[in-house]
Amino acid sequence: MTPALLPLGAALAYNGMAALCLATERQYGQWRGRGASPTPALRRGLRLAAALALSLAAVACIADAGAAVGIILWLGELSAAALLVAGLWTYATRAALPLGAVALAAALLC
Amino acid sequence: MKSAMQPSGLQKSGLRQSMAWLHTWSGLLVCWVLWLIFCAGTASYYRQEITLWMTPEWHQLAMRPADPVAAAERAIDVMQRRSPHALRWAINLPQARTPALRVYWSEPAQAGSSKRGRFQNVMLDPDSGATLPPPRATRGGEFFYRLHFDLYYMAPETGRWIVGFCTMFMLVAILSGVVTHKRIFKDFFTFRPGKGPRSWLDAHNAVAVLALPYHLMITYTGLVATLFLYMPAGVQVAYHGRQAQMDAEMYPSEPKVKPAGVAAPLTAIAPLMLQAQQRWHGVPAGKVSIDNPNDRHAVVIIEQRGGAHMSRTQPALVFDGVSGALLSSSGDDAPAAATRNTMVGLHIANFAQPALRALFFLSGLAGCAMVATGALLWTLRERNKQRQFGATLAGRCGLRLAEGLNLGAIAGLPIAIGAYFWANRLLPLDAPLRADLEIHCFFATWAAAAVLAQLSPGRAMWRAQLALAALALGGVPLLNGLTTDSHLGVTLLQGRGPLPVAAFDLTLLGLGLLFAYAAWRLRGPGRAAAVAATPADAADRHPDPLRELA
Repeated sequence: MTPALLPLGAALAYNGMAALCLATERQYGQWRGRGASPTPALRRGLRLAAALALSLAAVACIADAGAAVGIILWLGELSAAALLVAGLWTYATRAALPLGAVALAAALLC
Repeated sequence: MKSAMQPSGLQKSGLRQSMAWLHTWSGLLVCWVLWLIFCAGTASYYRQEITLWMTPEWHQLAMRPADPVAAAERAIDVMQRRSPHALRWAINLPQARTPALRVYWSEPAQAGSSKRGRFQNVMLDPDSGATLPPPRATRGGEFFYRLHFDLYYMAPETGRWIVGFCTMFMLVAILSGVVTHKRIFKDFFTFRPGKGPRSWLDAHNAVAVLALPYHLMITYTGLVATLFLYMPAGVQVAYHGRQAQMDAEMYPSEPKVKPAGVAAPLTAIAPLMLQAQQRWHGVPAGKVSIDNPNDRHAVVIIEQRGGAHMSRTQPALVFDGVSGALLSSSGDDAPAAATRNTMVGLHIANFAQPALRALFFLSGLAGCAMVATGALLWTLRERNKQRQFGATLAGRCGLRLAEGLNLGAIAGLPIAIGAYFWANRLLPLDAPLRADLEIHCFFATWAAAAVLAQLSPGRAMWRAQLALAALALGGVPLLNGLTTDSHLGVTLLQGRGPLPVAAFDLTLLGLGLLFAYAAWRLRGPGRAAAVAATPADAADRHPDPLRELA
């Protein structure tokens, strides 16, 4: 059974943006407690994972809507995901990462 | 002049500072018009849905999905009885976003007169073919669409020049803003609420940077849409100013055929429409027009339903109206025309299916927020500066003017939009020039809000206008409940009623709650300000009415 591509792309975009967010100094500190900063290795790993997730999101969008509209869809999902991550990080830091996992699981299973 | 000896870091900050200046002034000078353009443009993504909401007479119709082939047959039946010898019948078939079946036709010239007959139209029930009474007169969502690039109360061309001027400034502001943003990656996800101007800057950065692809795309394609108005030189040189000739080459159309004057039966429409749909890989027709019906020179033109392609022009097939033979097909634009049509199509986003349309709408809201936060930032900083270093009379007047404009635009426009919807339901149905009256209500409300804002651009007025915006927008579902049978109680609880109407009600309720929250944050004098004013941020301490709104 194939998962619905549109929600899958959105979930991947969200997780990619969350990983990017975690790899930034200030936001990592917010998550881990003041003063904590990610090790260079962790930061590299997170950025690699983010690149992978965002690329897969692009694949999902293009598979769903074709190259032309898919790319627009992908950019729109990136913007929406980034805004959501930034908002959640400010108002509900604890919920931001679990939400990504839940969204991805839901998108893969439904 | 910078010398070559200067370290590169200094040069960089010099560039950054000059870009900051450019960003500030290119943004500030036009921000109030941009706010209108962004708000009206964002609303235009749902202009058909807005029109549907504003035409309650169609709500029941929107519930019944109509088969385009059957609807076309029904319309032709009606026209055969009504005006069999018209010059042309043009049939707009019912579609998901526009549920009406509408036929336009024009009678041939009367004997002894060279003037052709009046262009007429009628709405039909797609199932029975019965003539439907005309709905209430309203411009609906079309008003926002036109307002977005033509403005109002002026010649459309004047409006387009003003909008184009502001758009150019917008493009400059976006590009200089990217250059001047020092920590674009480090602060990519940063939003620190409750910290005065710092929070407003964070919010401005977040909505601008995170939706940057959209902002760039929409500004650039917006300029391309009216390209030939702003840069006519190319057309004048190549075509010696003959715009019509260029249009003919860009959008080739079948030459008009004169009626033969010999009667011949019209071919059946269904096989032609099915043939077209097959050729378009299942995309059905959206429009059917028939030139010279019941004549030997009858021509049938079938145009594809909008929304299947990014380009704004729709492919069409032309058939012989008697034999049913395919004469020609259009829709393969020349490369230059295709490029432009695709850019304009991208701007208008008719191709966007629900999910993508929602993303466009969201990005449009981010654009509105970017303009509003940018405008507020300038007045906050300017007031800070004037408090610390004093100001000339001109400086104080400028600040007061800008504060009044901010208040009148940012809080006043939503009130006016609400007033437009309330006028739609409360004005008597038979009022003369009713559609125009709705629009006058919009502008009268906005003018009142703007004047009050200039008279007293302070915290109390912000709270009053934000609260009024909350009531005007958030009260719309209630208004719909009192004036129609397709309110949220029916559409949501009973699952009957057109989905777009329910979505409209919910969206406005959400916007109303947003303004209510903003008004609530401004309650009581300076409680939050006292909490936030620690010695650490004494530098930007100031009893500003907006400071704790973030």
